[in-house]
Amino acid sequence: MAISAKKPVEGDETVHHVPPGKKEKKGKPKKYPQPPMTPMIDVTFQLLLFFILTCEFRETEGAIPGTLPAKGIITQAISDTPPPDPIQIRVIPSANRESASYEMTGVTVAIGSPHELGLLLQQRQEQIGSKEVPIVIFPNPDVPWGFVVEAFNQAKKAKFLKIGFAQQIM
Amino acid sequence: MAKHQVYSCSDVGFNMTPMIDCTFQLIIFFILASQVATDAYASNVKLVRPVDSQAIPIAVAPFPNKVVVNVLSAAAGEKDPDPEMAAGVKFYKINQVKFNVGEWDRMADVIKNMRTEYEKQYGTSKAPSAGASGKEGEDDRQFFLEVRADQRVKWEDVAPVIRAGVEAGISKLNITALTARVGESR
Repeated sequence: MAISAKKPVEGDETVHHVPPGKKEKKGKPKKYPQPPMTPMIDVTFQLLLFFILTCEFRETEGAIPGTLPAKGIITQAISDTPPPDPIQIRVIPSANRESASYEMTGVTVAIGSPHELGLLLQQRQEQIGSKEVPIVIFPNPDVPWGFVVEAFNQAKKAKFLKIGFAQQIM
Repeated sequence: MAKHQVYSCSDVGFNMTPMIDCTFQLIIFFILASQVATDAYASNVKLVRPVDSQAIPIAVAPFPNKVVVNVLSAAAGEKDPDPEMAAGVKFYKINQVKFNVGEWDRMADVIKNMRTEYEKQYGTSKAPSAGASGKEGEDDRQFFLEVRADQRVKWEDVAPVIRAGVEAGISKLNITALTARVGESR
């Protein structure tokens, strides 16, 4: 039985078995065949460059779900109870259209922020105790769309189920 | 006296392994994080992020059961836009079809055609009231309108898009907005 005569490694006292006839030749180190790495690295860098140059970080988009009124259908109240009066929200832009204020049925003062509008809607929903009360948003024609979405979003946050837009300002 | 070791050129080389490791990590990151751009979602649309956004994250991919109407501001792509100009509409876009302001009938026709095609292929839409709550798993098949408008454009330029959807007989509407930031209450 042959005993390995490998390169001594400090601290390695393991006796390695080398089968007969496989004894390492002294002199030139043995060369192992390797796949060519260069083309792979080339392609990899091409890919990396492509992704770095073309990537554009986008913020996550989402959707606020809603409904549209049915065309040409006049809904009739089937139940004995009359339909609840809708809560109307008017969206009025400032002179430079940088901000907007909101007016809500039953609230005498103008509401300055969407957060405040959301709180008032939540309070109203708790007072009424129903999510079925329709919310009608009356945006001023020249109000930026962003403020209209804010009003819609706050109504959604207050868990109202019927949220719609008015076609004309009151 | 210190003994200097002399290396020949063949002995000197870069250790490529860590660099290749990092490169592969980066490639994997980019491949996983990338999203293929679609015609349905136009670029240069400045979306609103509402306070405590209720927007439900959606996959930005073309689904057959929706029509996305992009409303691009006249300032789209401008670096320092004039607020007056930004309030105007450049054009409306459904996939690759562009519409100018006032082409509402044409827009309603295109939406109607898309809805008809969808219903031919996948069956008729369900009840108009279904899916209103936006709950997951509820009536995923219903054809709907998605309004993806720039936050700066005026309401009077977006309202006709909604009207065109009503004209086309669509009963479900989604409004595109940015989702709430991580940690922000929903």
